[in-house]
Amino acid sequence: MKPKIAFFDFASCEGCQLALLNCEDIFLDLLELVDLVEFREAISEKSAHYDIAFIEGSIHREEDSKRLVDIRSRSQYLVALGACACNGNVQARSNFIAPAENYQLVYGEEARNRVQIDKNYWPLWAHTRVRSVEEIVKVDFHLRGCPMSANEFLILVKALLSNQTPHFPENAVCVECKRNANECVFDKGMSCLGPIAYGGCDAICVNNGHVCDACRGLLPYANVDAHNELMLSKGISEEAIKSRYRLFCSAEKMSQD
Amino acid sequence: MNAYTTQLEQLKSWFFALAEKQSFFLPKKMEGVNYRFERLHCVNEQDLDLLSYRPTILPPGKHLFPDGEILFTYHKDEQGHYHFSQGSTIEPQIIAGVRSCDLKGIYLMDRVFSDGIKDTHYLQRREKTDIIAFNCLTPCDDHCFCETAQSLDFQTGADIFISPLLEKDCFLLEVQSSRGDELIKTLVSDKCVNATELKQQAMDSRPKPFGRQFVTPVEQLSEIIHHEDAEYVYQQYAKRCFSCGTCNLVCPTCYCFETKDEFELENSLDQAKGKKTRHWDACLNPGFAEVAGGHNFRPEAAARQRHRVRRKFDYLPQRFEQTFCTGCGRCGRQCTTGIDIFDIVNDVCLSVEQEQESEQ
Repeated sequence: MKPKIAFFDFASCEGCQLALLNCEDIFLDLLELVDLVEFREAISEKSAHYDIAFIEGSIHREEDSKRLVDIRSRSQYLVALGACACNGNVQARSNFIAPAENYQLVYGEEARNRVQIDKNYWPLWAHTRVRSVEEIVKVDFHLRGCPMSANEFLILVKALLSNQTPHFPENAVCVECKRNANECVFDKGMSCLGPIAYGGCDAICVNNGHVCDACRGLLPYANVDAHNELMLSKGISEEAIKSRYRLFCSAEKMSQD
Repeated sequence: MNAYTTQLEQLKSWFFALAEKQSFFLPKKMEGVNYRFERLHCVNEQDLDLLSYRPTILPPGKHLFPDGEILFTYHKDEQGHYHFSQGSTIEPQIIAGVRSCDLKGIYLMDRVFSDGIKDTHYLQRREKTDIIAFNCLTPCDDHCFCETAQSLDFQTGADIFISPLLEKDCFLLEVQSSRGDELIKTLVSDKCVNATELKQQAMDSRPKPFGRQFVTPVEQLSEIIHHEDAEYVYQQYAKRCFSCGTCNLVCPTCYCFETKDEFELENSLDQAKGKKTRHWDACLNPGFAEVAGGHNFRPEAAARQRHRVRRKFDYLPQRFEQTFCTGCGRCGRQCTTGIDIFDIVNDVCLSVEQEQESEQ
């Protein structure tokens, strides 16, 4: 029997699933080997057990949390797919703003008042805390990035299907920048989160003339103090630095303080 | 050995003529302040900035040891037998504008890769590579310390060694191999009879001292680096280290690599077709010294810093009787927080002196 693979989406743009559909050649090869049992972007079958469950999106409401626990209980491997699932992504920036203030920012002052006094709007409050998948259930593997890398996806699936443990080095983006002989972003007069961010993306943003904003999350050994000093020494304000750290990584435990 | 003199314009035309025939790499200025060895394509494409270029991001030796190189590919036939074939095809290439520090880097890599079990992938590439090196009359920038690291004037391994002369836009070319003789055929030049004299005059114009100097002579460093733990020194540097591995990856004498196996899906999981590739690794990355079972021999950044310094000044010199730091200054130049192996070595030496003083 072919292994059962499923994709589940929570709060996300589903861009990672689309990134996968974009590499049709790999994907069609893969479909020969597995049963794709849940994949909202393509099909609508259901199953009781999953060999590999891919979770896309960050977790906001209690009902999402329960759904996730249920998926976990029915899955052999659970993989956090993409930046939303791994480290909260941009939507987790709201973790640092009082909920009522958020509603005001988006919907105006009336909304701010209404969510506080009108009972019908209270469920909205549940959206106020954005969590990564790992905060709720055990995650076996992370496929990081916004969007995830199709290459890493393939490495993971090939390994799991052939009973090997996939290995993703925990190296900074700088490693890949050097492998590509990129000029350091700091030498070009800009600033970069590459020294403290998970690589594995082949430094795609820097390769194309941009900077790294750590969409893959901060490394477990990230020397944030030294990086903060470095950014300050480039004349960047403390507030701007903080905002930069929070862009993609606000659901990470280390950036909570 | 034959020597020739030529003018800048002739030199440029010669480079372009060589570049038309085969892969020809030369330092090229990038968007910011850095240079990179890039393939020279056509006339007017780039300024030939041989005199003042700041050392490239990656040393030229990396062209002999490319990242992601395919070591071999394999497939299984219908009888179940495996067949292997060499991966990347190796084309002849010329690397020009190689400075003495990088030339020494290549020389040291030649030593390493032919020691014990020969690394045929490296050696085949080296065999097909011609090197046109370039002498320095001034330190390339504030990070340079090639003189104290004993790589200034290093000429071994270059097929042609070019020295700028005192007369403006005039160059001396020393042919050092039969391949050099082949290359120089297309150059418009004059045979030089007083080469030694002209070269010496140019070298006498160098600033003294040339670039930064170690506080302790390089011959004594191995002893000091070997015996001193200098815990405090390494810890001070580790405080601002990102463990990103940049210092390793830009170093002309860092050659550690990891290998990866990859099989093709082809509608099955029986791994009947695939390849083995190798990728540059870095001992400053925390995962470098992690072994099966999860034990890590150097979990702290300070231990990794010390390991790197000892590789350059102690372990490898013991094996090859050469200091494995060429003084190119890349690690200090490329490190975003300015950790420079030159400073570390000096601080270790100074901490020893201080200890000795306090004991007296």
